[in-house]
Order: sequence, then structure tokens, then C-alpha cells
Amino acid sequence: MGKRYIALILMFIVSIAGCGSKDDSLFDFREQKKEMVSYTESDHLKEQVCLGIIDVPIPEHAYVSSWAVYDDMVYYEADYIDYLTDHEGKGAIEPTAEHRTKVMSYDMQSGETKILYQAEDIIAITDLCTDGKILIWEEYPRLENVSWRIKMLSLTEKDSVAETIFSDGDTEGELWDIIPNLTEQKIYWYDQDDVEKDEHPIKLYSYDIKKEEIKLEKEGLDLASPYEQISIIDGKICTYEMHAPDGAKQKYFKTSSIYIEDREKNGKITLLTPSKIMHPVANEKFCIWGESYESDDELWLYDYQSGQLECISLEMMGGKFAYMLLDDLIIVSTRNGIWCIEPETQTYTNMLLFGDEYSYGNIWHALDGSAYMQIDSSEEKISIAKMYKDHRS
Amino acid sequence: MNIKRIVSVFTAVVLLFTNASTVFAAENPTVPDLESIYEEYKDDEQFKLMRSEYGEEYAETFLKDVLKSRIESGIAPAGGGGNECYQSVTNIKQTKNYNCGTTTVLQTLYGLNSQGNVTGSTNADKIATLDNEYNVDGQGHLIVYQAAAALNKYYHGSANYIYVQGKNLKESTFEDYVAKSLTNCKPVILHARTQYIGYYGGHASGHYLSLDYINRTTDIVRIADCNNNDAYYGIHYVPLSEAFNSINKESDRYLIY
Repeated sequence: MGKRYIALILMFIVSIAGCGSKDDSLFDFREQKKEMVSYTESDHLKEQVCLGIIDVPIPEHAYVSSWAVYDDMVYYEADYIDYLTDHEGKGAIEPTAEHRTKVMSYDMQSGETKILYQAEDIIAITDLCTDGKILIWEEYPRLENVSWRIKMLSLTEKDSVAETIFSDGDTEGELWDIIPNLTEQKIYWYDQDDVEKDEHPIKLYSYDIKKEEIKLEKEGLDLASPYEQISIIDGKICTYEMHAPDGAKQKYFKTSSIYIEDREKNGKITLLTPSKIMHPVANEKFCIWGESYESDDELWLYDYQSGQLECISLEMMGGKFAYMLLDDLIIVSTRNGIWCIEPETQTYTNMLLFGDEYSYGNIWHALDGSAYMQIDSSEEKISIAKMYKDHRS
Repeated sequence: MNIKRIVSVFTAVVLLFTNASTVFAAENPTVPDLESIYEEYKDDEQFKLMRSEYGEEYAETFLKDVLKSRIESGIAPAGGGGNECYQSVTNIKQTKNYNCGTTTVLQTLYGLNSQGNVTGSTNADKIATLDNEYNVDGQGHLIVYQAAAALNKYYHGSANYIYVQGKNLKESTFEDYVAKSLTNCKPVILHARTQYIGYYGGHASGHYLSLDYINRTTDIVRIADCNNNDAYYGIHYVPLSEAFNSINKESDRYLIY
């Protein structure tokens, strides 16, 4: 009886310990053949997703290269670099204080624009990110020992002043510019501390805004392009590494490991893919990725629920330029329009055809749950497409 | 021997042809590049069977043999005309985060066999010569008319480089200008906005890019990007429409040809 009691207590302890342990899974698709799956066009998807166009007025002569959206606010940089450059040698315009680069806001409800920050010089500003409470961006100050620095501005404190929170001098990295991503009071970015290193040279860093600390999150990674946005959606951070099979050194024979880490649930899914990859994006339902920037008629999809991997043909939609997840839908920007794909029903629909009026662009996932893409720019305004799920359907 | 050394050897062979004073148009020109050979074969059933049966190393050797045979058959990395036009440049890394203009000019001068006219014993020295001459440090970048002036100064060919605003072009005109320039042995330069080019992932910056090949059937061009990052610098094949949009969709962007 005593032994039985001990065994029961031990089993109870093990089961309790098991509840708190990491839930890691590995799925090996390296032998999976690439058979393209063609979806069918269906208008029912138009009832599930909304597309709106936001026209943002810009100052005269200014150029906007970066913006971010949260709810009804658009934040954007306005610079005069091109305006002041004497491209054809006809005589330069004399710069004034007015031409120093600005960070501005546009309120979609009231139509009001404000200058939130003006730089000390005529400099480039990129990669604005916001969670509605703070705004961060990257500056290239043209100082001798600083390639880039990250600035932060509070959007809730009165009379807030933008401050530098860290720069390339505070990191081990060697990249001349980085692509920051803001989420949950942390800034994440990829960097490389040895630009001559061949294999898995990429590292993932974070800056904790509250603790004011830089941390190395992960190393031994790869990027198909150092300008790829890191995918952090629904608490899932998606990174990857590429492997050359034994006996082959060419990069195009590579397979890949995609790591989808859930920081809240402390779990990790590893997908071993049959080919090299680019720009994986993961949320609670799917992980999608492309194969290379030079093959644009396919999109790989892994479905957590079914455990299946498939390759979706995008041939009917035109060549892909960018893609993003929007809950259980995929938004794809091709060279002729914006498309919505629903894996569950294997259907797709066109949301916007560009024609002569609009153009393709990259798609960003915003912290307000929407997806955004710039579709036009002129001397008076930029136009941003906002895509979101219609939860009434 | 690692793959970088292998590619370097082949590139050196290619450069021997590039630097030849005689350029000829080929019937079926191809840019000698392992990546493009792989793209050509990757969906071929026989190649897939061979790779599956004999392994990756064997398949890799096959691709290298294809590349070697194309070079040895006398197809120079220059000339063309018709559907494929090219004048290969040498890809060089920029040395500062704002001297992509002078670096791209030097790349182009290599393609014109005129790099020796720029003072300096190394590429970094030559870039520094151009940086000093055109006040790139003071300006923070090379200006478009200076890029054309530098090419005309150091290239002693018969046709001068000119520039045109991309905003004023139709895509068909852009294609014609590029094809004609390459057929006349002159690589072109894009004074581009990078957000319209796929591998920039939406990152918006002004950047100079060499364009040294066009396939008018597949509407693909070859870009030689001088970005300093190893993981990123190099040769990229992009759709013609992306190259065009990078100078057409925004004002104050140029094609130098």
C-alpha cells in the first residue's frame, strides 16, 4: 500500500511538472514534393475582408519614405533630400531650417496634421513603428561614428521629446542599417557582427524599453535579404536558418528550418522545409513563406491545425511582390493588384486592381491587427491601403 | 575549393572576355552565372531525376559543366541584341554607406573596360578617387549629373552617357533605352527607389544600381547591387517592371544610359 501511495504521488508530481514544460514540436517536410495547388476564385471572400484607402497629405516639396498606422492615426517622416539635390546641375536650392527632416502625424478623423519632431539636419529617417503609445524610428545622422540610431517618442505624454534609445555603437552588429520591429514594449531587429562570415551569420536582438537593455535573443540564423521584416504576430516570433545538404555547397540546393517560437506559451515549432526560403510570416493559424525573391508564382503554407504543408499557385494573380497574414486569411500584393486568399476554402479574390492609378508595395502587419500597404504617392499625398477582417461576417 | 573561389575563377574567365576590345553579338547569348543556369534547369525532368539518383554533388558538377561549356563556346558576356542584351559589369562593394553612386560608376567603368583610367591600385582606392573628385563626403551622395559626367570622363568611348527622369518614361521606352544601351556595350545605371524592388522588402531608400542584362522575352533584368553586406550584395534577377518602377513611380529618379 505504501509503495502504491508513493507511486501515485510521484505520478502526480510528474504530471504537474509536465504542465509547465515547453511544448516543442518538429515537422520534417524535406522530402515533400512541390505540387502546386491551384485555388479557385470566389467572391464570398469580399464579405470577410475590408479594404479602405487612406490619403495622407504631405508638406509641399517633401518626400515620405516611411510611415506607420495605428487605429485612426498615421505617423510619417517627411524629408526634402530629393528636393534640395541638384540632380541635373541647374543650381541647388538653398536649404533652410524648414527643410530639416520631420516626423509628422495625420489624424484620419479630424484631418489634422502635426509636426511631432524635427531633426537637427537634413537626414534620412526610416522604419517608423508604433503601438499607439510610443513611436520609434531609425535615423542616419551622418555623424562620424554613428551609422544609425533608434529614436523613441511618447504619444501619450504631453510635451514629449524624442530621445535616442540606442545606436549601432551600443551593439555588436556591423550592418549599416537595421530593420526594427516594435512589439510589447520591446524592439527586435536582425544584425550581423561579422559581415564576412558565410554561414548563419544573422543574430536576433531585442531592446527592452522598460529595462533599457539590449539582449541577444537568438543566433545562427539566415536571411534571404537583410531588409526582411521580422515576423512577430500573436506572440509568435518566426526566424529561420538555411542548410546546405552534404556534398553541395550551392545556396540554391539548401533546405531550411523555420522556428516559430511562442514566448507566452513557451513553445516552439520547427518546420524543416524542402527548399531555401525567404521571409516567413507566422501567426496563430499559419506560417507562410516564399522560396526566393526570384520565383514569384508560389507561396508555401503550413497549417497548424491540419499539420499539412502545401504550395499555393499564385499564377492567376500575377507575380507576388509581398504577402502577409490577416488572421485566417492571406493578403498578397502582386504586380497587378491586392488579393485575399482563404486556405480553409482554397479560394481567393481580388480586393483591388491597380490599373494606372495605384502600384504594388510591401505589406506591413500593424499592432492594431490590420495590414497596410502604400499604393500611391504624389507631390500632394501618399495613399495607404488598409486591410482588416470584417468581424460582422 | 569552396564555392566562392569556384565562382571567382569563372568570373575571372568572364572578365577576360569582358576586357577584350572586340565585342560581338551572339545568337543565343547567356550571362555566365551559376545561379541562372540552375534556374534554367531546376524544373527540367531529366535534371531532377539525375539529382535524385546521383545526389547533390553530382548535380552541382553538371551545372558547372554547363556553365563552362557556354563560356568556352565563345559567348562573351557582352553584346547581344535582339531579345537578350548585356554588357556585364563587375560587382563591387561600396565602402561607405553613402557612396553607392561612385561605387556603381566604378562597376560600370569595369563593364566598359575603363576602370584603369581611374587613379588607384585597388577598388577602394578608385572609389575614394571618385568620392574626392565629386565631393561625395561633403554632399552625402553622388548626384545624378555627376554620375554621368564621371562615366563620360573616364570612358573614352564614342557615345556619351546621358540621363533621363524615370517619371517621363513609359515602360516600353525604358526597355528600349536599356536594350539599345546594352547592345551598344554600355551598362546602364538606375538612380532608384528601393521599395519597388522585391528583395528590399519594402525598405525605402535612394540607391544607385547597375543594370547590365535584359531579356526582352521573359522581361527579366540583372541588377549588380554594390550594397556592402555580404548576405545581400551581388547579382539579382528582377522583373523589368520592378526596375522600371524604381525610377518611374517617384519624382527625381533617373536612368543613366
